[in-house]
Amino acid sequence: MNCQDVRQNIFTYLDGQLAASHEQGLYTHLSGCGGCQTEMVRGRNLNRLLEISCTQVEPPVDFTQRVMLRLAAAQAETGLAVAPAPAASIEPGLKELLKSFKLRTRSLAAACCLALVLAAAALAPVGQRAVVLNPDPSHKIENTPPVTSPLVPAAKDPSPAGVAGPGTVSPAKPASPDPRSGGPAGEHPPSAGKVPGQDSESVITAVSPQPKDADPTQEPPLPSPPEVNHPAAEPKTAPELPGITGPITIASGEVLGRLEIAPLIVEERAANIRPVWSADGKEIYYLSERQAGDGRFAAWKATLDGKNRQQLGQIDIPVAAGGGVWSPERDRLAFVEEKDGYLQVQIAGLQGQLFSPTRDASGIAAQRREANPSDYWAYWPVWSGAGELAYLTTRHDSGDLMVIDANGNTIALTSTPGNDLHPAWSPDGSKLVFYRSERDSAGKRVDRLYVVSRQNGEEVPLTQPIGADSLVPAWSPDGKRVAINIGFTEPQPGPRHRGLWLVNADGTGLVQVTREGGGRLVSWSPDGKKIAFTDAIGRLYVVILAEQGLKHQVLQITTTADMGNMSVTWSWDSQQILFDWLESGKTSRGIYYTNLPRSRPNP
Amino acid sequence: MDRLPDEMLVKSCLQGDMGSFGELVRRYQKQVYSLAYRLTNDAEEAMDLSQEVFLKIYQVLERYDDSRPFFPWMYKVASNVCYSLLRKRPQESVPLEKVIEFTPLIPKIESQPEDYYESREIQQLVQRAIAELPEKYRVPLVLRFLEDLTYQQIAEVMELPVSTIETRLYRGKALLQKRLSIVMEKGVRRELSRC
Repeated sequence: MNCQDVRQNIFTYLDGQLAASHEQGLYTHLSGCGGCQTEMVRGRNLNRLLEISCTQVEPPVDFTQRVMLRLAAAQAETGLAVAPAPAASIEPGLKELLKSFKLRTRSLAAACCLALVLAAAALAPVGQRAVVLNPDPSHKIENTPPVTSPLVPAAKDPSPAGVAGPGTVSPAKPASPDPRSGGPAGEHPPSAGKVPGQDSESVITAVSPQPKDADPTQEPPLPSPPEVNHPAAEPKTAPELPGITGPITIASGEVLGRLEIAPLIVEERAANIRPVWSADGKEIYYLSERQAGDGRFAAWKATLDGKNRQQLGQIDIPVAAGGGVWSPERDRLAFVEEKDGYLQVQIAGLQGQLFSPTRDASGIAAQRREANPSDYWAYWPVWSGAGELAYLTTRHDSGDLMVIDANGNTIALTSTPGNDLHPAWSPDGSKLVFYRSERDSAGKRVDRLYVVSRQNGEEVPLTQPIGADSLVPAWSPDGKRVAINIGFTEPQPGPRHRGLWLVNADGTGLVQVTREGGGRLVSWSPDGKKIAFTDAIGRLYVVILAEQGLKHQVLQITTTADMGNMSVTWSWDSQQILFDWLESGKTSRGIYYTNLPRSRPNP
Repeated sequence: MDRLPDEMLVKSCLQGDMGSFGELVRRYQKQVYSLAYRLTNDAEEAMDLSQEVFLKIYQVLERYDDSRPFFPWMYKVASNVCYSLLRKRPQESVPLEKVIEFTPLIPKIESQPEDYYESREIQQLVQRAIAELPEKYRVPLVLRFLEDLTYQQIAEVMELPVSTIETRLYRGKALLQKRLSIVMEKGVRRELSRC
């Protein structure tokens, strides 16, 4: 072994990678070669230099936001999607890779995500008045209330929140049991008021409070016994709804204007999300990273002007897998968490109670999870207006729909090879609409909406197969129609559909409202005349539905991409929305609002 | 109570939950950004490179085998993207023969403080020297010292024989020794003075 060979072996040896069979030769050479001994010292010093110099560095504080915006831009420009796109240089050998991959550091640098930027500016109103950018007089919107100051309560409201003045949010009733889909909730907290900053053109009149008798001290109705499955009645063949009839028609679809928005609860170092009106309509409840564990959220409340922020109870929950959902009474939160070795839907009461209605006493859940990390016993909880909880599960090897009734019993509503997603309760809680992606007998992918009866599990298709891979439904408040936010990301043969669509509850009259859309949010206003929805890159819109034969008016609320899970909640009068949003340039999601044009009176 | 596992976030993302992908970015931003930064020694370039990494991860997420740990898979994609993009860039790195002739980096530190190697200036010189290596030497070197990968793991990431990785690491280190000769001499003298 000459000195040149030894030099390479020295580096390999110092890296701990030299084969044992070569070590003896190296030692023998070193014992008689002063030059190579010096090289050993030099090599050790170089390694030390590299170890202390080649270390991890903190990314910019807004790193995640910038990545997500870049991703959104790429999606918008090129249709970038999660897809089996060619990636030959990456694919080979992946599955065999690095079983013993060891890393020095895998810790989460959570604090670095939240820092430094724009605290004072974040709380300043974005605009002083709402603007409708509508060059076409024929599309003039009737009322564009300014968003100067957050919302003014009704003059007739004797409550403290009803004292007129700037800086308050209009009392409102929670409009949705699920802030993601925004379907009608059936809960009607009291409130009265008009849209803040309304000028003389405003036509909203004061409305008498409609208190909801929610007793925050009352024990939540859902107990937490170990989960017991009660399969739905068989067979599931008797359809309640007729199939699709008639052609698909396209109604309208252009964005006619843009509304300005204003911040309500925006903080520099903490994300604030999932805003809802309190049960009495006098406060805003929301989730915040303040006073919560790393990557978790606590429950908070604020007055209608976004001030007097106080923590609610001892909530400390993650918000993922569809979790972090307020109950209709606003006294509980359904969330999803890995516990006891598997994924569970849990319910946290504001008074500190914790329920595990999907707990598995049999051990099957943990076994399945152990065998398959992508087995999810319970996730994506959705409250009904009556306080029942639907959720998704993969315990039968594909996405299926389950319901926990008021007594804590679990009912399997669907169990098919298809993958069920995005369930939404009907207003009366008698059925759910959901999106199913399945394969037909020829192996061809089929995507459509189904409706399943809560009572007996009977299910029927609501739509014909639609060329899309995301169908997010929401019932209209009267239960007569379903709005569908349709999107697609994966390349598939055949025609593609995207945008906001409507279909009658009996499956007839599938119609495209606007080509905008394709996101995961769709939420009806309480009066059933407006629908908030997002597009594929997370921009928020509101469509004002027109009477027969007239064009729908589509208003753009946010103009920048937001790939977070935006939630929207409507005021009782359908003239305001609260939503969480990651404003461009901000480091944390915050809660914003906008005022909307008044709804047209019923003919 | 545990946080949601990576595999769950991947599944949620594949079902359209972009927030889950955001959480994955948040979890691994430091590792990915560090990799990009050590390969480029430039904050802006590192930001661009790490964004490309996460875009690619998103694009190929469906290929992730969720019976395996997520992080090794993700890190392989990240390394591969970095290596591919660095190779495609205009050749800014100094060719081997040029490097050999290159003037050694000279530290301004005259004295030999107790923590000589730990001094910020010395580390910056080393980082600059790494970033100026040809990418075929730079990538394995960074993978070796940033994440302590074995030669076998580096070989799998770069899809090259282990023997090639061993040779590249040797040559890369030899080049670094030349560029850092003055730094090294001071270090050696200090080491010897301790004996």
